Amino acid sequence: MAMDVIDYKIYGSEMQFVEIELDPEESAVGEASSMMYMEDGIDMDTIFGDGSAQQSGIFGKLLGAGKRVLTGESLFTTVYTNKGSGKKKVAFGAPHPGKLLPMNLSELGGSLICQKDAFLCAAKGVSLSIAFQKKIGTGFFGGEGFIMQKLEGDGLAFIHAGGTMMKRVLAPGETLRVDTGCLVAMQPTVDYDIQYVGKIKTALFGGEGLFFAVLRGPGMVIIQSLPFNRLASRIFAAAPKSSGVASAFGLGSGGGREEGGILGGIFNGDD
Amino acid sequence: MAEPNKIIGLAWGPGFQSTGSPVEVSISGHGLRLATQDEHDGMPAWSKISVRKGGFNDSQVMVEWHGRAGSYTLTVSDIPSIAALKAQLKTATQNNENLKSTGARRGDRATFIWSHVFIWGIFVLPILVLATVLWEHERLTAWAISHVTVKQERKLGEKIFALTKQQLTLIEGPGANMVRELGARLTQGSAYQYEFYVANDASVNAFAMPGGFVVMNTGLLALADNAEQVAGVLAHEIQHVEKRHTLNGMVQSAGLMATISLVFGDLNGAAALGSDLIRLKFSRQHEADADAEGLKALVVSGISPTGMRDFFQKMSEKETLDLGWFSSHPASNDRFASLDAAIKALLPTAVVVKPLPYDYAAIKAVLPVHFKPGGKI
Repeated sequence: MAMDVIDYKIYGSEMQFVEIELDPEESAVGEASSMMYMEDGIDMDTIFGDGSAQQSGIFGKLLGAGKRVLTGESLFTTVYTNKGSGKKKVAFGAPHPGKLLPMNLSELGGSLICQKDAFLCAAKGVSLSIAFQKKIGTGFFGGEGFIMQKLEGDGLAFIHAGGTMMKRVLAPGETLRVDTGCLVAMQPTVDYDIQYVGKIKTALFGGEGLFFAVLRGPGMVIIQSLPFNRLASRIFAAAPKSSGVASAFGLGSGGGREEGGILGGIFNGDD
Repeated sequence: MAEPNKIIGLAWGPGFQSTGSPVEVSISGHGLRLATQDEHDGMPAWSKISVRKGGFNDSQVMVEWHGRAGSYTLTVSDIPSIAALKAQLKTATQNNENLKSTGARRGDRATFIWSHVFIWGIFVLPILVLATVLWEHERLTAWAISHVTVKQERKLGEKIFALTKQQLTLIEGPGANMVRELGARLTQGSAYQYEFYVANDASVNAFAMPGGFVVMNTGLLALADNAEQVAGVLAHEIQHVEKRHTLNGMVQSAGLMATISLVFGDLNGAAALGSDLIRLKFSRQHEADADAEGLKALVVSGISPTGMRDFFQKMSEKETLDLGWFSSHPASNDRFASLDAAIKALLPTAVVVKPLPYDYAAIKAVLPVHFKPGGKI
């Protein structure tokens, strides 16, 4: 089955979007709610499942849709088809600060394992399924959970992650230790495991957690510099709070009322 | 579809794409045959080949060998190809004992069991620790606190006070003298060395630090009507020190924070919330204790306990005024009610005593104009 070959251009630097140029009768699939704009002549159709022709029958479609729910995608995918004449454009925007990366699946042996939520859009025919992490340790402590996405096909797919992305090709046997949560995508030939940080002091106070993710070649891996939940927790931590234990140790950070709340003031517990 | 003697996979090594080149490989009793730059490297014999599982979820079979130009890897993930490879390998193994297959089966099994024990231990142990700490945290805190001497508590208090003092504008004058005298009267015979201060701050508040440092805001002095009310607040604060409430709260939240962050890593929000809730619950208990004990201390010192009650009544009125819609919060009201009940239970001789010898109106008149940095109220 031939995939649609699509031309694209990525705009922006830290909060990017991709504009895809479709020839007549060419299609692209986008994650629901990621579409930014589209030109005249592009027909939008919402389908149940992921738009790859592999699913046949209601059961197959339900299964495909169920898998999509597990990976954090919506039940429906939207297919954008150029029904007009001449080239038409449709654009998809990234949902949070980070980078977009085009992945040519045909150059990667036809499949790619991604962090869930990484998928943004693709040429029609790229199928999206779950890759269930079977190693218990990696599932718990690898930072990506048990559910990952698998992109298959030989077309172009766009993935998205936080911060700046690094693409690195590991030679056979070469390993790279990665902070858990920073892995975005990898070829399925890459061994993904966890490794204890090694020293109890580092584990408790090093701030990197108890484990590293260890990636062992051969294959290409993509690492993100800023996992979105890390950014979110920093924002959450910086958000103003009315009261908090954190302030119990930052004595004198505010006025007397705050201190009263901490130091057993007479109106303690009232606010 | 690959023929029985052909397998498809990705080839890695000299001359191949760094992300793996799709190749079709012939397999035979001799070994593999594929097109490589150096022709010799493309036909390794089974004796030179090692085979293992690998990749994501062990979904790949990795076929590795060394050639003249370097080492090669062939990754096979396609199911018919894996089957064909296995079948061919089986024949080859019978023919050739030297075949390097990664099959330290017994060792694998032990590693597997131990890794599970380890992982479940890592996973379950912190939860158990957390549960124990949450369940027994009162007892744990009490135990920890019982090991803190008055001297150590004093040192801690000094440090906290030194930090807090930077944010406070401490003032002198008849108000501060009165607070000091009342404090001394209320703390006779205590194991702690008390120090009483007045801070120029408009918010109606007073607070106690471990070891006997008590600070009262001018805002509170301005709101009080007489010296008995000030004495009531002081009696309450002093009980926080006597009963080690502040120390208790600190040990509790420090212990909880440490435990929770140890268990969950950097789950900042949830950890702070959880220990906040627990702190809040117990601080209410502490407040009630301090009220009751403070009342007793007032009676013992021969100061009329009605001042304490009246002050809470004033506070609850002020809350109603200040907070508007939020005034349904019954805290000060409740405290007033329970104090009132406690006072009614006392003997009349304990309630009707000689008033304190202060001209409170004069003291209030010379309080400095409120100044609060940042203008926060």
